[in-house]
Amino acid sequence: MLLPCLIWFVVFAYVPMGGLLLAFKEFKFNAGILHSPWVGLRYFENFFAYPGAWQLVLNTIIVGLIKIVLYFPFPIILALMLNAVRRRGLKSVVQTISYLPHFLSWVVVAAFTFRILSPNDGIANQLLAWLGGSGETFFMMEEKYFYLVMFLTFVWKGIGWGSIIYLAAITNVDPTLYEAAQIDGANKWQQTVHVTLSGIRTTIGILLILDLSGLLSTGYEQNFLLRTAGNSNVADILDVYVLRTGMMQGQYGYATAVGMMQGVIGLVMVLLINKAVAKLTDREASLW
Amino acid sequence: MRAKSNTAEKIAGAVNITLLLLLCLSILLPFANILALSFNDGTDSALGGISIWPREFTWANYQEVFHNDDILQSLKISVLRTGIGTALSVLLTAMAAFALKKKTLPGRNVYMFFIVFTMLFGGGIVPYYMVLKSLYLTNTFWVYIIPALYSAWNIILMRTFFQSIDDSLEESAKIDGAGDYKVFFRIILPLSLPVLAVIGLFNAVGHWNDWYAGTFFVKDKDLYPLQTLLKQMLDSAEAMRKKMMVVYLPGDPRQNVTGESLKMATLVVATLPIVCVYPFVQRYFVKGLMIGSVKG
Amino acid sequence: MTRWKKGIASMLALLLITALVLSACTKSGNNEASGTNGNSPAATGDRGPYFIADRKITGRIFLENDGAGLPVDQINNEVAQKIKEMTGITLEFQSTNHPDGLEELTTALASGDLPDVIVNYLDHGGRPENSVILKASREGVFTDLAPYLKNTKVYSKYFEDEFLPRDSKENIMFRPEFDGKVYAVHLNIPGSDLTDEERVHGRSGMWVRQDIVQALGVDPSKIKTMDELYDLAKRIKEGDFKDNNGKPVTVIGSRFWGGSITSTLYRNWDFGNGTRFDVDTDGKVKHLAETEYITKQIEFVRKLLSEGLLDKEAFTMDNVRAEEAMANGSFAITTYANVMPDRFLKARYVPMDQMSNYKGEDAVYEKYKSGYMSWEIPSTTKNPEDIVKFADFLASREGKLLWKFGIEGKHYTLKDDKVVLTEEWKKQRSESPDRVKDIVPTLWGLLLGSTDNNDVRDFGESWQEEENPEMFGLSKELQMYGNPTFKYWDGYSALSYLSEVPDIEERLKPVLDSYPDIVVRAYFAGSMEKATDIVNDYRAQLKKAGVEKFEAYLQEQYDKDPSSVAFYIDALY
Repeated sequence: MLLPCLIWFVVFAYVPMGGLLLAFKEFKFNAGILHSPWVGLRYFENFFAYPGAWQLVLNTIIVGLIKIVLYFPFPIILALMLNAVRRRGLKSVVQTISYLPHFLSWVVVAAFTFRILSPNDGIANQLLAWLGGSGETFFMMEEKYFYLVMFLTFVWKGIGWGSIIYLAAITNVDPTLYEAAQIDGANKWQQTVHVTLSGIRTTIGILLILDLSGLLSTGYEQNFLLRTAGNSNVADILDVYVLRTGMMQGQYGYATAVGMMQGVIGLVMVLLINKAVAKLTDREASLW
Repeated sequence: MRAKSNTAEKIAGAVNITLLLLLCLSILLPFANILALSFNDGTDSALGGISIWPREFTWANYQEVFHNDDILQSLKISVLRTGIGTALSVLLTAMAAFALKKKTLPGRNVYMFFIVFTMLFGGGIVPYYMVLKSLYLTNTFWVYIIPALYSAWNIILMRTFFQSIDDSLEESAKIDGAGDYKVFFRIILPLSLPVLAVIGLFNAVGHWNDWYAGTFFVKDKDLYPLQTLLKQMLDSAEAMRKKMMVVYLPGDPRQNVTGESLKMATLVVATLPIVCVYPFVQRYFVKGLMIGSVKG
Repeated sequence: MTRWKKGIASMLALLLITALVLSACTKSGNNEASGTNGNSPAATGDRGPYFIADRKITGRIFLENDGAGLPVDQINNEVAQKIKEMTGITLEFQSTNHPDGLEELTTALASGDLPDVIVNYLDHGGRPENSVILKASREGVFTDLAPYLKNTKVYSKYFEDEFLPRDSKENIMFRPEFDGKVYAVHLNIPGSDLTDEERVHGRSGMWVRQDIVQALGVDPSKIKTMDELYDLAKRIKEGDFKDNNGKPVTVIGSRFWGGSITSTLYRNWDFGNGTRFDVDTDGKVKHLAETEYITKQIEFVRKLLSEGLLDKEAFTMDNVRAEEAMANGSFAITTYANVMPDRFLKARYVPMDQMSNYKGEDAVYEKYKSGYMSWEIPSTTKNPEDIVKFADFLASREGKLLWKFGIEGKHYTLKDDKVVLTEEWKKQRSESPDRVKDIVPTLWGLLLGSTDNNDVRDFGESWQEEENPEMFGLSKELQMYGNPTFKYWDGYSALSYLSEVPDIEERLKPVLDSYPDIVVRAYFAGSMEKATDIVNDYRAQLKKAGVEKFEAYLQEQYDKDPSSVAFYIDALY
């Protein structure tokens, strides 16, 4: 049963991984990957010699933490909220609406964001002015608003879709447990916490591990689009940088080296978090 | 004693619903805008100011989307690949997950690590492409299916769900003489409808939305899935308009289709199917059929 | 324990498979698409003066969506059939409409997935495609085409002294390091002897709403200094002008495509326009940030911003909103647009680009001759001379007549050697404009044949004028608006020299590239002191990244031959 799976991974994942060698070689078109000359750690050196390198790494970590750790509870909360809705029809409709933004591309979302936050005629500023503020804040140009904007749009876009898996997990919870809790006198809130939440803890655990493994690779599209000269100090993350320098110059080695670093951090995260989750869920949710 | 809905709970319930509705509103407004733009005359839209209702209603944007003869073919491809790809993927992933959940599997942790590792490291597009090419997958229908059969993420998720199924069910079946496959099909699968539905959904959406494979790995237009074709249409429409290569007769409704209005229409066309399909998927989010069967 | 061993054993087995597959997967450069039956003409007797060979040429284009202009059937349309009759050649291009032509190019080169000929963007030596093509050329991916090009009618002009612009010549085609070999053939080189009137001018620069300047009694071509611009801006603000929707105008808005302003806004101090390096009054090569000009620029922009004369969003506006604004006339002044008669039919803008630059000249700067794309032949292609000859045919007048205009008699006729479209064809064109490309495959022919271009000399202009007189007239009018002096620059831009010094490039380029961000931050800094701090900080970064070494290198080149380095070029180069 497992065999086709393993073979598949060898072919489609491990063989292409040979490309990782490019992090240590200088790619020559006619020589292919295997015969291009070694350059050792040059690309890694170059990366760290770039004055902005550490800032990039820091930014990437912060962005990763926000998008993964801070964001994490939200889809769960939404799932719980949806679960609490009694009327089937309403629940269904709300759920469908909630995941619609997942299908929008970041290009569209970013365009909306800029419009809403425009210092000239954006809705956000109009609202603020109505409430007594200045109504002219140029949100997108100021560093201090970047994380907030990024976070809010990220939650808005992903919360619905992200809650689906939790909803599925919730249906797996044994209904008799609810009855038992009720008999014990638990009110709805306590039921939610002790029965539902605890019932889906393995799902939560495994998703936490999976998500955190991508800490440094949270994708560039959103950042790339929301970035302006004003917030670039915090908005520039590794993937954006790699895109600009790597592919653009045909310098695969550089891009691969940075990609490799992201992978290494991811691996460390997986090992650490897995250990923690293993302890907390009694090895039920952990990978091994 | 039946828990009475006391006022605290009622209020909590109301707050809950309010928040949910607020969320929905924040989502519906932009979508109404997109819908409006898709039904609005493109040149008119370019003047700005459209909010949630079209100002100059027109079918032109959608006409432009569907006027392409290749649409039907690409639709066929998309449906085929989503159907076949999803079915195969879900089945194979489930098999792998099932095998991996058994605590008795030799080298289980090694396999897990093997799979997890692939989530973290990748060689990049060039080696991947070379592999595909050497397997003669490029420019064939199967390039959509085979490289997408498994995903580490899905396998791991499924495995976790499978683990929550009581071992005793399996054991009792084994005692009755059932082999692995029987256990798999008769017991595990029926009990795992929610996760199968979810993974199926993720797979289906992945297939449906993928434009990348068609662009990068396929040359024959006949093999383009819908998203690739739509994207191509968008890009070329914009390029051609920039070069003024296409100017419709005044009076032809398609004259005023702009890149932007076309983008909105294609977005709606691409998203609509999923929205329609989801309610069917939701039906599987029902409590597992046999949950109560072990007790007693 | 035995379970573990079993697991590891099976893992090892799998890894062995990996190793085997890897070793089998070396890039053996299997090129399935090499020219089929590359039969040279041999003694094929009387096939006509244009005959080259009976052969199909496969091509691939890396041009970001331009494949859309290719005919539905590249082989069986009338023009292609006629060409086949004459030359024996069938040409078919494949494009995949990949959004990033460069990425596709690099992947194709890396994986050896190459047809008989490839075509790609290559405006000038500084473009990223150039380094990729160069790298590939150095590593033998392409065939040397020099011997074949010499034997052509049109392409052999490239060997003439003054024909190719310097950049095309020294940087792309005849690089000294290749010692006479030619790998990339630059396309879209204008034919010589084009007068100012005959050339197409972009007037890329600042544009202003015509009705506004008329109402204020101002002649845009007479605005020369930043002070005058400032005064005009103030008058516009006070003049309470409105756009098509009745809303008050933004005095100075973003570029037509959004995203930034350009140096047009501070032309009086545009030292190092386009490259940011220039020669100061003391004869030394410096970066803009190392001079006082940058301070003047920043001060001026800050002044405009603080007085509400420059739109804050000029730096972040996306192209959709910017185009919206332009369509409505919401920008009284846009910092950058060019001649687009169709767009300007409703909200009429006129150029205002004749301000004095830092040298005191008020001429409009344009690139002298610029190539625009290039084609190369992979070394795996058989009988490359066929392709060269075919490209030459397409570039000749006979060829051009075919792919630009169609079949003589059917689509056009020649009157006094000038092209006149037939009535029937004109009707067809206006009835189904999206089918035009399927009948007369212009893009298809352009890909190998568009060079030595001088439409006026070869075909006359009347067919353009006849087709859409309103736009044609408007276009010409705008191009020559204000009767400017034109100045042309040529040569290898200072920035292109970076690729000559890769060890400096690696450290310096990222810092150079961050300049636009730095300067925008300075514009929005809390105070002029903070802005100055930002600039000083940047200067330090430049020094650390080795800018002085680069400047010394440029100085060397410049002192040897001042015309070999182009410092001052057009803005968005």
